Amino acid sequence: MPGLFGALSVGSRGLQAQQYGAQVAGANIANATTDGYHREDTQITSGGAFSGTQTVSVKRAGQSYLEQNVRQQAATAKFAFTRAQQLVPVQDAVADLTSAGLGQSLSDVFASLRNLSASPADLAVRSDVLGRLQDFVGHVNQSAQALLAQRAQLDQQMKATVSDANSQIKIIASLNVDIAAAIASGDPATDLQDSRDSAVQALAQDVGARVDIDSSGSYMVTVGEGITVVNGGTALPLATATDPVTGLQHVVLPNTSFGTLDARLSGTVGGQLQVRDQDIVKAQTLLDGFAFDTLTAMNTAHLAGTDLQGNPGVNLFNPTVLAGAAAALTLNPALVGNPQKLAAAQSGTPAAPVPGDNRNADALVALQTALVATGATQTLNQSLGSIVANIGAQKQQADISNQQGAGRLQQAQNLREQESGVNVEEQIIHLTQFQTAHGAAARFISVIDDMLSTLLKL
Amino acid sequence: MPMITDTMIYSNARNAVMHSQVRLSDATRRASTGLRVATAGDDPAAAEQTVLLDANLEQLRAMKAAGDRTSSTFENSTRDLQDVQTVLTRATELAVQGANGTYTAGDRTAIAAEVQSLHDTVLAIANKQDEMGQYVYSGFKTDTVPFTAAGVYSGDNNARRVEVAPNIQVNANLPGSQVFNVATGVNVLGVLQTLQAALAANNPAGAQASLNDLSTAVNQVATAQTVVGAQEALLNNAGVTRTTNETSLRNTRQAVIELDSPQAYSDLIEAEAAYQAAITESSRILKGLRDGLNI
Repeated sequence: MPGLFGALSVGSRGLQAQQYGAQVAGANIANATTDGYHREDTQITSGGAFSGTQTVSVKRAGQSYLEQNVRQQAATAKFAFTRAQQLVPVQDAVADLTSAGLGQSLSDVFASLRNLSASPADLAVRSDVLGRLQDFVGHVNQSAQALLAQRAQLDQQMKATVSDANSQIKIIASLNVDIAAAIASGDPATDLQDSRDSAVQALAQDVGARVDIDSSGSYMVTVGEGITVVNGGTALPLATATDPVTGLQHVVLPNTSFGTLDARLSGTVGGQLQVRDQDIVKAQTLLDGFAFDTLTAMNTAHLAGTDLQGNPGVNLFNPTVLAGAAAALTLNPALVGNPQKLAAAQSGTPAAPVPGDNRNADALVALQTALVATGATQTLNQSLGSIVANIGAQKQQADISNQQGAGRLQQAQNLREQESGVNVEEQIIHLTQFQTAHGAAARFISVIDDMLSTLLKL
Repeated sequence: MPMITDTMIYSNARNAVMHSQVRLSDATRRASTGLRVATAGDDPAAAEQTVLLDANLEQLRAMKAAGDRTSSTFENSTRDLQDVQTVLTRATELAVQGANGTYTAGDRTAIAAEVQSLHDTVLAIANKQDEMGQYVYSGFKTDTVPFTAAGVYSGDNNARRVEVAPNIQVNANLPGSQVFNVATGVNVLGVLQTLQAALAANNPAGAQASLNDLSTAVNQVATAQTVVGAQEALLNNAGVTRTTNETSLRNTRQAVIELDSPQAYSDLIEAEAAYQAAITESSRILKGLRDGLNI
């Protein structure tokens, strides 16, 4: 049986343990709203019947699968958020419903052609037609340029996001080393672990990330379904490489055979690439199709006519290739400033001028309701309507995913919080508990002290 | 029992407030713009329909503009034909006088001079140019003087067809060959010239002979007047058709993308109420937290 002096040391260990517990509760309260903070739980183990508290340690709360879930939802949510945000300018460029849109511009062209049909010899009317055609060309160009500019901008933004992801990759690798060293020296390094989790979370938001924890507690981080970017203390940063054809950047992992990782990434970069390489490309294809159908139909009709001087009609528009038609569309320079060259008449050749003939102007007007678009299945306006419907559906879908993503992320965060977060009331209760126990331990020491005094007075 | 942490309470409260704020701002935008669909993403199908409806409305507007252009030419033609009829009535009177045996050679010379001026009046009308210098009665060949003094026609028989309402087309011009020199009728200018020549030659029988042709000419111009009248009627009908179509298009458009105001305002009030509730509830919870800790 131990003596009273032994009992004193039991009391002292008890005091220390309760102090420690109170400190941990205090730290938890202080970090109740700290992002990425994991609650610390004091673990006190008994040393046996007469030895009191043996060991005191802190355990960092949390479950790795809940962390993984938050990372995954954060990556998905970021992807959806980025896409929804970046589709706004796409929608503005090709699916503008206001009177500043392409539809109005096309209607104005046909309105001017109707005036030409009513007054085919009127030079003011002819000039107005050229003006409207020029406006239309400007509108189509502008829409195409807006898409090109946004692609270029996304390319730059993506590069910046990849660079941020690389910073996180390096931070994680270096924290892996620090944490291993701290743990080896007996320090639980909970703050370093929080920092490492925050870095992984940031990486997940950038490109999506998965963590596997090895036996030593070190993080092995993979992105894009199995591509290792952190292995212990080794960081394997991503890089961007310029595509020789498009001039756009691809994400790659240097010195590996993975090739482009573009399609495998999630998070902000995934969203940026989705809009850059899928959504905008689709919008461009639709816009080019519309521009090409318009120019083909109008050129064909105009070539069949005769101008005010009896000459055969020329092409209204250049160029005559589908790819990039919207951006390259121009009014035939031969027409600029030459309203008499508009072929409103439809006379045989060689023809004397027939200024009152409006039949070819009528043929041009008739294109407004003719099935000349999308492989002769739609009118030009219907094809514009389809573009609006397509781009609108894309935007709507992105908005819904964005909302869902935010909801799921919130849910995942709540689940993690339940496991690793801080409830201030609970910590206050812990604090009170430690305070009471601390008081009791002190009282125990004073009782032993009294007992010792009694003994010493014998 | 799952633990509720402070971060959860705060972030849930924040999300509730933010969510209701977004809803309120949406409802405010709708109520103030009156639009349910402002962008393509709001409702892609409705947006597509809007594009087509707007194009149709613009098309009607353009048809009206083209119709307005032609209506002034109709007014001019109507006046011109009226003037020609007046001339022909006077020429008939003069032919009757010239055929009268009691008139002297001098009288006929004087009458011949008046007939000459009547002829010139008709010639001026037949060779009339619009403000652009285009000949009105030469068919498509508006740069060609349509009639010689003898009434030989150099224009063509074409009329410009102009669409003034969906599937309604009018003839925007009257070729001279339908008024002044009709293949199956008479050459009005020629008739007047013949009459003038007979009178100048003091030939009452010749003047008498012209009366028949003059009567045919009057009928011929009357037919042209009927044609113009029919086109004007068509143009008026077109106006009615356009208005009917426009009303129906506007109603559809309204149903597709616009809000009915009572709905918009009740949505707005609801969103405001939800926002207030979120704020009140959040501050109550947060206050509860603080009070519990005696902060």
